[in-house]
Amino acid sequence: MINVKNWDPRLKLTWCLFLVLTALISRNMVLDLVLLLTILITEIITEKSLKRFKVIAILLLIAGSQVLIINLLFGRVGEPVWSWWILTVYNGSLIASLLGFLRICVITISAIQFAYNTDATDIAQMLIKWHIPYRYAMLVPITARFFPVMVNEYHSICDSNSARGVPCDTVMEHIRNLPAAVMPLIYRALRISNDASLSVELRGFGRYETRNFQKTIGLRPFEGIMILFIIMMYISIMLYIMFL
Amino acid sequence: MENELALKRKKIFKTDTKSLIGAVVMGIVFVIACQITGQIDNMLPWGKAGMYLINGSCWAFFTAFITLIYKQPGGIIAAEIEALTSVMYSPLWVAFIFANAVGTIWVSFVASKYDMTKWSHHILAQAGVCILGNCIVTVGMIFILEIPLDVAIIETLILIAVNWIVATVITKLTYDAVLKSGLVK
Repeated sequence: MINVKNWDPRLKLTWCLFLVLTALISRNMVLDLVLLLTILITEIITEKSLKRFKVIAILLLIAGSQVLIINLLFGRVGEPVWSWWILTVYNGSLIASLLGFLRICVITISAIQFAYNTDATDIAQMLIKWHIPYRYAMLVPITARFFPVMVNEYHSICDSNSARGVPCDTVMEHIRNLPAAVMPLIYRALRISNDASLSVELRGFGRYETRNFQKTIGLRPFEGIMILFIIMMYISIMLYIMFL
Repeated sequence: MENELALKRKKIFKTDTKSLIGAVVMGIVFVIACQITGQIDNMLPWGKAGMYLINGSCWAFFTAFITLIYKQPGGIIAAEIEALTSVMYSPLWVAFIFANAVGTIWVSFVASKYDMTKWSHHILAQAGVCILGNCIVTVGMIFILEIPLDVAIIETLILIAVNWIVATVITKLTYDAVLKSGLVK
């Protein structure tokens, strides 16, 4: 198994941007399929499994089914292939749905791959290397740190509501109780942010212009060559799409 | 103290630590709320047709609310946290990066001109958020999801109408309630 986490975040970001931008400019199903397979192959090479994409695959199937329903109902591109009562299915709609589905798969899975393989502190260091003041760059690890805290806060509010006789199980209960759950969450967030800002100020956040890290990032020669190779590959694909 | 002065002077920028950290924490709340409302919409008939009415209203409310409390760059930070984290639940995250940024900048602009005490101020703030934001998302729907142009335009018009009304009411009531609580001066 190749440990991608130790690679420079700039290389991983370049790879992610290459996949996203190529999928965005592509109008070719084969190219999108190749990009998707490339992501899956790199994932199998590096992680030896695809289990990280299990949850997102379900969400992508839901989004894909929505795109398919809309295109089947309202799409009027191409030749009619099937007709029943007021419903007529055109072949162009099916192609558009498939293209849209492949594109969202590439865009989403590449971003998920980047997020899983890149440490929040590495992203902060990457931003510092790009001369962004560390007070702003450090907000990335702070976000990663506070995410589980706020999710737990939300669950504790839902549990408290349930204990007071306001259940939060079905969809309708969720809709009905949304203000009752979100308003306390906003108040708790304001209180937590007050406490957290005081804590970081007391620890010297923003006192000096620079900040030290236990582990630093540095671009190794092979990573630099890889970045150049990815950029050249993107330019080639762009030229191919534009002129051929 | 700095918070009060900023609100009084109608400044656009507020770069103190409390605003930055607050924007991050509220950005996470923004993400959680959008994820829940997105799931609710997915289960409802209009969500199956791609119209995220509850989710869109929640998005417009948080975009305006966080910007009003933490100004800039807090508003953009929270909005971009939501946009980048939305990769976990929406394939339109690329469009959200631009839609959220435009929405929060518009609210900042309105908040710098008005004191945000009247309904009309909130209606104006939400007009920009809903119209500009939803228009950008429409471009995303057409180019990313390959949805037919006429369908995307009709969906967007319905979304703008619903989001504008719902988000304005929620933003005004919540902003007043939070100011009254004293957690934000």
